[in-house]
Amino acid sequence: MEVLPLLIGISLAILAVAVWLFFRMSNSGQFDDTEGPARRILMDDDRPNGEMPPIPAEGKAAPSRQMPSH
Amino acid sequence: MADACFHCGEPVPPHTRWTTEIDGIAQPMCCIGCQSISQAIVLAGATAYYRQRTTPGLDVATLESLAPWSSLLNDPQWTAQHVETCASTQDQRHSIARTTLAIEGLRCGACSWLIEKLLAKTPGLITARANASSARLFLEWDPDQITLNRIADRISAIGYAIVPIGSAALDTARRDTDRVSLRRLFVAGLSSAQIMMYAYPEYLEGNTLDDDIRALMRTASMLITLPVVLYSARPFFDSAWRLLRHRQLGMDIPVSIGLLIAFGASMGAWWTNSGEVYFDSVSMFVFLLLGTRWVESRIRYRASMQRDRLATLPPTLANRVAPDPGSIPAWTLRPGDRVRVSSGERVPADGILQSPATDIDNAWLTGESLPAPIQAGSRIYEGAINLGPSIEILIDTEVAHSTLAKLSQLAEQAASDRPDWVGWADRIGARFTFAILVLAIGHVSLSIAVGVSSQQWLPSLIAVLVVTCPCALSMAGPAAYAAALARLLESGVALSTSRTIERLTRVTDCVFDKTGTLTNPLNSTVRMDFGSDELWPRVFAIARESQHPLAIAIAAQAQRHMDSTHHAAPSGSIEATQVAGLGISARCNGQTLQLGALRFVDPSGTARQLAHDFPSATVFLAIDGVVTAGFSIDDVPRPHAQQLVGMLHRHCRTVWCVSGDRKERVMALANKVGIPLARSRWEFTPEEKRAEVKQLQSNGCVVLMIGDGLNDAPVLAQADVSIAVQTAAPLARQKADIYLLRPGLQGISVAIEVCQKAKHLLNQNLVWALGYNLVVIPFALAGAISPLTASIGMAASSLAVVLNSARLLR
Repeated sequence: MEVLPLLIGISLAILAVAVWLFFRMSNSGQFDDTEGPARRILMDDDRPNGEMPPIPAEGKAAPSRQMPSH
Repeated sequence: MADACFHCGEPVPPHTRWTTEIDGIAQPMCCIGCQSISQAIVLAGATAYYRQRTTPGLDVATLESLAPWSSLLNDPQWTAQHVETCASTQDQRHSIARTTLAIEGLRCGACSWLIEKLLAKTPGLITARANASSARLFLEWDPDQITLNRIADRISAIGYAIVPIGSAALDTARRDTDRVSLRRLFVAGLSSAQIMMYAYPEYLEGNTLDDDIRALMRTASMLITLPVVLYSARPFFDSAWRLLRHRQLGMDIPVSIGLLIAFGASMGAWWTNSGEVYFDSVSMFVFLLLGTRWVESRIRYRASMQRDRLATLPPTLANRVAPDPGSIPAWTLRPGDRVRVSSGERVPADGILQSPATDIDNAWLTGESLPAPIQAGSRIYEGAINLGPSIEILIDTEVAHSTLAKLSQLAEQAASDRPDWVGWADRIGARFTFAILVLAIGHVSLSIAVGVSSQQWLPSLIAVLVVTCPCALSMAGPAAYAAALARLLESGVALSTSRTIERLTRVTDCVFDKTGTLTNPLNSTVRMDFGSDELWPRVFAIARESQHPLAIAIAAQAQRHMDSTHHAAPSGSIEATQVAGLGISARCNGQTLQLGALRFVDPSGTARQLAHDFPSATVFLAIDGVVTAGFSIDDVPRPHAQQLVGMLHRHCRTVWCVSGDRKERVMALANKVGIPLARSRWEFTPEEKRAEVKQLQSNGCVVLMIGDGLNDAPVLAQADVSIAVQTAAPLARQKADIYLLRPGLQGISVAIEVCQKAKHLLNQNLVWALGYNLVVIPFALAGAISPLTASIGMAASSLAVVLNSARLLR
């Protein structure tokens, strides 16, 4: 059973690396939003790749609400 | 029968027909604004948004009221604080600007996708990353190729509003706190997963293990438990310390004691390589508890974000009269400007009162909603509400300066109303655990007195303490609340704190506001009972100056008339003054028009005969003092109103209806929805409504108030639990405990049902956790509980609590 201390030591080292990696990755902000990315993969794009979505009219702030008419 | 707008969920006004073709079906839209937004979305090839979204879009009224905030993007002070510019790393000649914007309406994953997709491939934009949980949009762009304003225009065109982040420092602090919580959870989780590997040899082969192997395993367990206790469990120790300092009782105190004892005893056993170690229980305990609370706080955060107080406050607009007259954002005011503040409006900035005396409401500053008289020449402060006639104020402060600072302050204040964790469940749990501790100490003292050796009582003492470690007990509350909050959010109900769940179940009386809450004024039909049709254009001109639902309905009818007879609204400027709760008066083309309640337009009572002849008329028009027209507005109760009242009666709650409207109309509506006459009140001013609630409370009732904020804000604040409907004014949403995210009253039935179930669930969880403890203690005292059994017991009881709570989600 001499190999056991070695194995335990390696497992502890791996754990330490895992924790360090996680801390570094959470700094980049990728774990800030845990719901968005999950939803995003479900979304389809109706346009073939490469085509740019049309730009809505420039200078328009918010569309204004008018009184209803026929 | 009104449809709902496909985009924003608002009811489609009758006799209109705006549609957008989405996925081959012509979907109804409530106005041209929603139509153009949805068309922009379809044109961009993003109809997947409609298929995947979980919340409705922002309605155009909200968008318009928030639109002036985007002018803040031009303010150099704001830019200096919020936009960071630096040289690009790739190309020293170009620079990169970055900022994070708060986006109102960015509520679900589909929204993030939509915004990112629309901004993608904009020339000059380098990165756009939307975060639906925090409603933030991170942008990086090349300032030489595109300006922030152009980016903002694109965002507004698809129906999102840009609002200032109140306090950038607070935002960063909140984000950092979230990150730290996740890290703590990760460490505890990794540790408790791994520690089983080290603990199992001892569990399985305990007696045949060599001493040094056992020591090795225990050392490994100890090493990975150390960071859990020193880092992950810090929040428990900090909170326990805080509770002790305030001499309060809370779950975190026994949790901390249990952790420290279990860990300390295990350290002792490790050092001497004898006895039992409980490192795995410690790790697992911390992980389970952190996990439940983390889930609960994420859901609560999502709910609170849906009703974020600061973001949805429309910007303060000031009505400047000199030097350049116009309606402008308050932060652009300069010292020396004169502004007019009409009746019922807020003062936009500090200054000196120029007009003769008036009354103001300083609730913003002092918290008291009492009118205070003020004389010409005195200082009047930003945020005060003018209760008297229209006044003029000379501004003498640097408003831009203080606006940003104030936003910051407000944001920090709002964030510091943190929900207090020590609820009823907590206190029960804490008391019970203390009883256990006392029992354990008593047992030990007895054993010592009787002469039992420490070899015998120490392990069983530790076993008792570990096994009654309040894992399930301290999870009982958060698990039930988390499930309830999630269920409620799914049904379109956002709560501000978890304690509202408990309070809602204790409500005895429900008070409904009539107009806007039980009824949807936009659905009412307006009839001119007397008066000539040629008055409609003038009616339109004055009615559209007011935001009161009755005025909006009248203006809508006037517009219809004008369209069908091809009349135009009278030209010429209109100067309108609104008097809260009574009506609106205006000067137009040399005539004085008044629109409102009878006692407002006809104070002398000369038109009493007319009112008698036309009893159904509620709103009157007077021109130059003579009553010339009367309108009746049919109240149509909201579809769900009757069922809701019936349900409340079945649950033995007393239902009231309180309104400022006339007796006949209140009676008619109360009849339609099933509220007994004895419990309807009419012609009440907001102050009288508040007094009524206070009266009920002094009789020992727990009052739930449901309103829409227009004239309701003080009553909502007075009630024990307040619900603001979706169409509520921003101030009401801010103050209410519960905010309905969807139009209609269904949310209220759901809220009551879910909170009831949550209360039962909480009781079940507590009974189970307490029962489990009671059963297990005798075994622990007898020495029959090994560490393995203890950790299995802890896991099983916690799992039971969580699974039970999850039943609420079905």
